[in-house]
Amino acid sequence: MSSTATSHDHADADHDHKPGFLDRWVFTTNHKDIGTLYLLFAIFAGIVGGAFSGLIRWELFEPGLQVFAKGSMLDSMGIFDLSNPDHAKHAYNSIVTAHAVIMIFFMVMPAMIGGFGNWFVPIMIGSPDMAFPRLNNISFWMLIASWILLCTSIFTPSGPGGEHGFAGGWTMYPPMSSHIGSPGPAMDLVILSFHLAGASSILGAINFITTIFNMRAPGMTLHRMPLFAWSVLVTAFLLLLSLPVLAGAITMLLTDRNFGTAFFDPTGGGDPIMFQHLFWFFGHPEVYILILPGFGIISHIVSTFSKKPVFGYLAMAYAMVAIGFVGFIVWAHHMYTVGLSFDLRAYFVLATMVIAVPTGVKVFSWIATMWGGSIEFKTPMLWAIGFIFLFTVGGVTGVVLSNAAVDYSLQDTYYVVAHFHYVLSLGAVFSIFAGFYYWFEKMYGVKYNEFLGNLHFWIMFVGVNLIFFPQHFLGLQGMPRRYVDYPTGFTYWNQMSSIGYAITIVGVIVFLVMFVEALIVRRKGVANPWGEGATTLEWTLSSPPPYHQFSELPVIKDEDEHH
Amino acid sequence: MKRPKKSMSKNTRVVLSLVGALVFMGGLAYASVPLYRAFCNATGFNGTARKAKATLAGIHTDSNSIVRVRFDTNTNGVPWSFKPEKKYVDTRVGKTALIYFTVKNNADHPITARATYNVLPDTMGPYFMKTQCFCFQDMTLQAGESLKIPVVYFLDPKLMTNTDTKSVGDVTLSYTFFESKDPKANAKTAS
Repeated sequence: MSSTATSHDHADADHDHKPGFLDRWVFTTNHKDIGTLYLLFAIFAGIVGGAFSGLIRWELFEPGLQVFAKGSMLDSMGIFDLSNPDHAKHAYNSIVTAHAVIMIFFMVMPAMIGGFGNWFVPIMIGSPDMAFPRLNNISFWMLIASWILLCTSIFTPSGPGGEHGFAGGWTMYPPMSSHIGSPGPAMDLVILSFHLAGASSILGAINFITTIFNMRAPGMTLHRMPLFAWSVLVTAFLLLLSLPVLAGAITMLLTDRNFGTAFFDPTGGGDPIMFQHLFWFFGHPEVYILILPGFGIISHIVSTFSKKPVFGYLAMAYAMVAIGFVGFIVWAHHMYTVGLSFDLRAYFVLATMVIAVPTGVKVFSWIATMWGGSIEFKTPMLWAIGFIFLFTVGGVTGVVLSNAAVDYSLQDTYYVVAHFHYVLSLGAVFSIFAGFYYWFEKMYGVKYNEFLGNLHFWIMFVGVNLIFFPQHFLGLQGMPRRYVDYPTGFTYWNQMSSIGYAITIVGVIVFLVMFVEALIVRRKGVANPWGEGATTLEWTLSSPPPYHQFSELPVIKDEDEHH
Repeated sequence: MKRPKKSMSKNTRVVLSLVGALVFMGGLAYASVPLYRAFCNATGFNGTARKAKATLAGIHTDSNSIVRVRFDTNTNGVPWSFKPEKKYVDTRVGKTALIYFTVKNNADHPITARATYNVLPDTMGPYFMKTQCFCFQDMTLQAGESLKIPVVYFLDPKLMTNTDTKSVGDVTLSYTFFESKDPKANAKTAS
């Protein structure tokens, strides 16, 4: 610290002065460096979570037990405990659980909020950094600690027979997660991991809200603020209000497991259904947390490559606020089959369908933004249009599932799996890739190869659709989720789905090749590669931006249209 | 960078209100426990039989419908025998009925246990009123001790106005004894 402290005296004059490796990457308080750390971590976690889904698709390629079985290729790697059939089946479910948790908490959230949020929210609102830079640093490292706890839990005894890894799904319903279903310490590690990830996100949310409220440049009113900053603001509020409920619920679970309380234990007068209420009170806003920043990113990209301002800017901003608000009052549509009364189900059906209205406002506004625009199909725009298409497909199946009567037969089938992967795996992930290509040159100062970016998009587009579209058919035919095996009648579409996974792997490899190629060739980036359509403040800075930007705050006037 | 001095207090103000929201939501998660229980008791949601404050006074009893109330008794993890006096009682809707349960400790040491109950079908929960019952309380039986416990209940005639419940001819009141969760009671059992 002292060496940088002394050099800091003259450092402020030189914007590009950077501290040494340890100070820069471990103790960093710079929002751009923390954003980069988050993005690299998200890519790493995404590869691990993607590999887990590969194990799932590998196992489901054929009926019967091939991969999660003694003597299989996976067994010979010796990573997982497949010593007997029960342990092997348990390992499958623990992989399904870990896949979900990793993708939600360690891939999408770090990429969107920690990565792009940290990188671009301060720049877009004309602020030199986040309001609490050190808090920002601790948020990141808490997430790493949380990751370590989660990975440890996979190799820790859990089940009644000593099976390893918690296998009750990311929803952690008791009694699956109580001492009856999971007596081993794995579940306690999962709970602590969620506590840390939650604390990390809450601190991040407080930081974002304070930054956006207090550190906007002169003239940058809330109604002139770019939509990505709006989306992160709404997301931060959702995090702040929903995560404490999850923290409360899992703390009750922890005391139920270890200290003899009976919050969710009917033998002591508790009720396991209450956990589901608490969990989904968090869980439903959580799925909007995963997608809302994506909405913001897509708005910027569509506007940039159509060379038109966003159609209905204020409606777009308040549609996100509306989605965030309604997201808190629809949670029981995840629990239609627990025995809710008719009237309650009717309410939750109605409230859930209402979400389609602000979401429709957004989809139609994106299309209206493109309408009559001079559209350029650069890689980010391909991802953005892919997002709009696939997210809408997922939204339509969501409206189907919102009907309690339909959900009675479709709940916990692959139809649900297909639905939420269309909105998240294809929706949220496509928006992350869209943002990644959109800001690649800005963040790293080098250009990516347009051909490789296009190739990545098309391979991924074919691959993920082939994975998830057939799952609609499987679900309608009644194939349940979270089973290691299935009747032979489901073989055909499962094989298609697994082939789609193989294609997607090729897409991910092209992505990594694109990354490495750009870093090796180092085509020098320019401040604004996208031309007149790119109006937000990050394009007024060099690529990459100076280490400390806006030592003189920009003054925003309405005609600047920085949104 | 060059932040004006007063922004520090501005930040503090925002952070304090955000932390307030945080504490409020966390508190709400815990408050949901009594709230949820109060809600179940008030509405009979989820098959919660309701504990009536008064007897039938004020509720008219001119219904001719008879509902067969079955009694289901279970023990889980406690060496007790637990039986109803009768398998079922044909109960006139709106009339008070009385049933005795017999519970006996077959072990050679005192045991503390606690009963939980539920009404099936769930929809009948709101109409199953108990004026006297044993539930959610630790009960200690000495070695070999047996006890007769009364339950007084009635079926609220309002069930005849609900389309979900008016044609229900059978309702089951189910009790289960579990070993007490109170560690002090368990310690006594062990010694």
